[in-house]
Amino acid sequence: MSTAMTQRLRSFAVDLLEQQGALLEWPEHEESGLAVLPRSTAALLECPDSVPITATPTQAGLVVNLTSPFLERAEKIFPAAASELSLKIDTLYLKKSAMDEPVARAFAFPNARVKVLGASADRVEYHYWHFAAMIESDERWEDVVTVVLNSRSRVPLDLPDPLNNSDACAAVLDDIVPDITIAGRAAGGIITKKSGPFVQRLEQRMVRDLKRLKDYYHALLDDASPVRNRRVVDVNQQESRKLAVKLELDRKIAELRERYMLRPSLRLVALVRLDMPALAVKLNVQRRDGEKQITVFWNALIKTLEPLACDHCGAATFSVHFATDITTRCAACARRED
Amino acid sequence: MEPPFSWWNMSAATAHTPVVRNAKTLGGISVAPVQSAPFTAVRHLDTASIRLRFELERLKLLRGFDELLCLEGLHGVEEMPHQIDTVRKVLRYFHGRVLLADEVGLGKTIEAALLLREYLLRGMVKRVLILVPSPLTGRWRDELAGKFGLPFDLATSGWDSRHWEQSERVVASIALAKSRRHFDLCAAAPWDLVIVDEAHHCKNRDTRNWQLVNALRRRHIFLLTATPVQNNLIELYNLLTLLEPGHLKTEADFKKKFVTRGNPRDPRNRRVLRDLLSQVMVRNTRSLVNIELPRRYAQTFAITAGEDESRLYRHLDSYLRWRCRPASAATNPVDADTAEGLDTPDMEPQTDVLATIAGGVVYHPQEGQATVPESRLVAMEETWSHPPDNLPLLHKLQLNSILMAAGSHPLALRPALERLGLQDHRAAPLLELARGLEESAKEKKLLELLGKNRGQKTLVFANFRITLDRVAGLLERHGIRSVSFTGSLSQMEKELAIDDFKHDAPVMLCSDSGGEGFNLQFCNTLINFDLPWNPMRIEQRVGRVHRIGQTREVFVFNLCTRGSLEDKILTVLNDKLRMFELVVGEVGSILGNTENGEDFETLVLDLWMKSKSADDLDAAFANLGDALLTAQADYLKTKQLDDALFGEDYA
Ligand SMILES: [Zn+2]
Repeated sequence: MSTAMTQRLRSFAVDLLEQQGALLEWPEHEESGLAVLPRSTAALLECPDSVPITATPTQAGLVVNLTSPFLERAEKIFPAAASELSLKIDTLYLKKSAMDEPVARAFAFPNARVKVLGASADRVEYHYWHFAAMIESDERWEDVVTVVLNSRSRVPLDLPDPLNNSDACAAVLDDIVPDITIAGRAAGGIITKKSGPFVQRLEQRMVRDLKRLKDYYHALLDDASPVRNRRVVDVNQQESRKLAVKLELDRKIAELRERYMLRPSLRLVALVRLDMPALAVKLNVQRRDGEKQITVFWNALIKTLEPLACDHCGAATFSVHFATDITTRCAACARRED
Repeated sequence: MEPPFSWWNMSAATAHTPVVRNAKTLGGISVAPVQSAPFTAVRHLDTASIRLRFELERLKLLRGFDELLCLEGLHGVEEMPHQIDTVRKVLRYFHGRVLLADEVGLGKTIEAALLLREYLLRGMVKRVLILVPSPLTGRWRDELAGKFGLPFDLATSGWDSRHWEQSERVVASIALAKSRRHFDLCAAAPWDLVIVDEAHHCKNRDTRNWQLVNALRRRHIFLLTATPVQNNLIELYNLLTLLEPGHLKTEADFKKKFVTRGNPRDPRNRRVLRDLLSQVMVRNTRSLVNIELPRRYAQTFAITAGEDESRLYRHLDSYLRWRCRPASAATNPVDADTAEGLDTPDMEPQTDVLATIAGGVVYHPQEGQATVPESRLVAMEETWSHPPDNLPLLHKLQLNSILMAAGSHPLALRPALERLGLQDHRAAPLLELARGLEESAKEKKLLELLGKNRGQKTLVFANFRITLDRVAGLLERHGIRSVSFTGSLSQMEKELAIDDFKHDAPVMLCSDSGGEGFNLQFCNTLINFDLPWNPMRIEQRVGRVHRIGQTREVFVFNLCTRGSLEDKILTVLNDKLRMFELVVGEVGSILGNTENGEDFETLVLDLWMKSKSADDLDAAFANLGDALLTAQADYLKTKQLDDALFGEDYA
């Protein structure tokens, strides 16, 4: 293991154990030290209360190493369900000038007439969904994916981590039911993109394996045919041999498909809710005979207008089409519906 | 930017139900529904905790296959660098489908077990089937449990479909699995991983062995063999077709392209063939992994026993033969596997079995007792004119233990004789004779050897605890410090014992399982005070010091009583097979070429039981020797073929 890795693991272990109330004597850059753990923590980590702590896998004691069971056991310290944290930023600068021009510059509305009605200060809750994603197949792909949603417009955004924002402090927020479906869908988009090369590699391998299997068994079938094989005289015998080969091919193909099947899973690790000021900009949308008012938000963290969410696929878009019922469509969904 | 078409579009599931989507196909690959736990975020954590939570997830991600999980928490496994490399290679490039064809003695089994452990720890496989030759089933199960912490079920003939379906980790003998009753059950159950040990038993497509493995539903498969080709190249073709059908095209294609017409043993287009092979098999060779060990020398001392000791062995032999004589010709001594309440011998069995046989009899030695007059022993034998019809037949395991105890030390015999004496008063003179014997003629030789080896570390092996204790006392009386090392010591005690041996005590007394997993290369002399009948176990003993890291020549001294079974075994193994000059593992390969040779211990016992006299037994051992020579010739032929195919540079 690299030194950087060892250090990172070490500081994780120290932070975690000290937070649990442990007393640690483990000088930095030393291989080993001593830990006195609260009884409950020791029980979860399956070690004595007072135990040598070390980064070296061959040593006795609590081994803090990627290959040791430490990480698995440490996980038990956290609640089994996902963790939730609520934060609040009390004040942030909000844009004061007229919004007509910024809206016109940020958005394109190809099939509707859109007018800015006005802007007002508001508070919006942003949801940071942290998922652990895994795709199991003949190989395995894993990653951690974060989806940030504006809980009002439900648009996925790219926002800075509030855990690094000194203005964000713990808060008690209103009870709302966060919509994991939208978050999961957005996570799916990210995962699809991130795992693209992985899936592509599997696909290529499967195509190759499939071809090899088929070539092989078809050659066996040819061998079993009377022209190629004069030893086989009995027609029934020929037929049953061919059938057996076909059945085996089917079985092997099914096995191959099963082997390469993508088995995705998504686990919510944590939800961080952040309540903060935002500028709500009201728009009037006119399409054919219909008319509707919608809201876009000016985000005080990134100091820019947020995109809108496609009502069909959930994607964020600045090029907003409208369906006949004046629900939003991203360019791709609009093309598909045409 | 727009995400591409998302195969991971989740359907309208509510926030509190699992997010699931119907299976869908992506470019030919099918996609299972997304599995996701219900949303129940409960705890309101503080910022610090949530940071730690994220870090934990990220750290877990960092464990690619570079960081192997399987190496932690092993007991008594000394993995070697080439084995670790192989594990990584198989994980990364072979995707868990491989022919592991290391040269003998390089530890394919350890590679397979490490891989198995890695897959299990990562949750990448759940249902595992291990197919092995019958004599090896117990050993696989015990080592997986003991050394790798992986408990497995042993399939038995009584299993039904429920067992095959529900048992997630199974060790089965291939003979059982392919039997009429079990073939379909075993093939119907889906396996994530199948391991086939000694896979050369599946080299022929027309056999049920091959057909069974071909019929198994599995995602990953490891085939293990040191001899992927024994007679001709088609065998290799058949093995690899089990692994990846079509990898070498059809048999006709393969022959046309890679086999010299008229000589099925001669490969053509070797470079192309090697490239193809390297995609599906790993073969580590001694020269490749750079482990050429220093030479080892063996010397056997057949020692003439003293008068009483010889009489004891002679009369014991007659008595046991009488006890095995069936009352009616139809019955035979009970087979080990049908005997109840006794384990089959395996890891450290003799002592345990003997304890069972001794059955808690408390023994009070009667020191200084006069020896038993020969007349009483003769009288004893005269009562044997009839078959022992009112006595239970001795079963094979009992016989085996008693005969092995006799080969160890008269003291090791006592508990067994006491047990016999309880069953049959006619055995009493034997017990009395044994009670009068405190020493074995081998002891003098042992002291002599230790005397000559003064200043060097010496490892002394014995099968029986009683023998070890006796030798410990003997050495103490002669002012030679020794330390004992047996399987019953705790880990801490073991470490202390090794430490003591390394720095202080010149002699370590070791039971068979002793010393495994410890570095003993600082010692280069080994004395077998007694002898396991199984050559593989003799090899294991020698392997404690003759292994990687040994820099000096190794000396092995075998002690046995002249004319004893051990004497005959050693004669065959040493004089015919020249076993002690072979490379580690070769004995196993050679024995594997003989019928039932993998179960040498039973073979020896059968020879003893079938023979009617000493001459008879000598003749039987001579035949065994010839059979081993034939097997060795076969092995050498295989090796030549092997070299032609893989060459020295094969990697
Ligand atoms: Zn859309």
